[in-house]
Amino acid sequence: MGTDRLQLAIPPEPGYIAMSRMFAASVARHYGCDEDIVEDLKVAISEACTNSVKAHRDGGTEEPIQLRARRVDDTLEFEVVDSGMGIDPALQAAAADAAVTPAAGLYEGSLGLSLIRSLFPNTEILRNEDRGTTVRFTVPLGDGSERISLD
Amino acid sequence: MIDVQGEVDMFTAPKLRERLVETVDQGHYKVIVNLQGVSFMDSTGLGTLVGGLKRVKEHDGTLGLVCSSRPVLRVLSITGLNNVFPIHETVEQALASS
Repeated sequence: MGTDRLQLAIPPEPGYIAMSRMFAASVARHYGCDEDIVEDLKVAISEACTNSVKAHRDGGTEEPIQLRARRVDDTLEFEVVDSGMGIDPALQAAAADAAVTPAAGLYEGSLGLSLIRSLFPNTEILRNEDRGTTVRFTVPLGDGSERISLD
Repeated sequence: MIDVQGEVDMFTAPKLRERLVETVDQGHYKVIVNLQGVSFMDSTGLGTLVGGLKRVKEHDGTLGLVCSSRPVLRVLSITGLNNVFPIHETVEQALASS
């Protein structure tokens, strides 16, 4: 079970961001993640995909955005991989501070990254070799005991 | 009062933004946004609410939220926006305080 891999490709359009959340939530529930984790995961995936959709729009590329999930020991690793313009280093620097404060400015982009880092401090934001950005983080697996409930 | 249902993200937030702008343009500066029917909200939705708040504040108005949904309260709390917006558990409480 160490190498389970799941993947979804979505068109880089706002209407598909909800589908990315459903995918991530389904994967997490399949592996028995707690519902609180699932809710945080939905926010993080939504933020990452929103940034990717913008990056594709800014870069004029219509290639799909890839969502990847992989089981690594007792965690689930999620990646959102785009081929957009990349993230402004200034926004990355702003997001490096995990503390999210509205006073820091509520403009799109930086708040999303900060929110992901606040929810999952292990978040990595990587520049892809060819083009675009990968946002990667891991969530803890549940024990699976709540996947069914019997009265 | 603006009633919002469903999920607020990059796809749906423009509708909320439009309603907020309309409401303020019509001269309503004490606005309540009812989020009781909202099951999901991300930073795009939060940014839209902040945009609405800025608009009403230009007219010395207020923007209160009705929310008891745990996922929505969580993002409000993480971003510190629970200290920026008055948050009420019920519509009645929101109306009583406005």
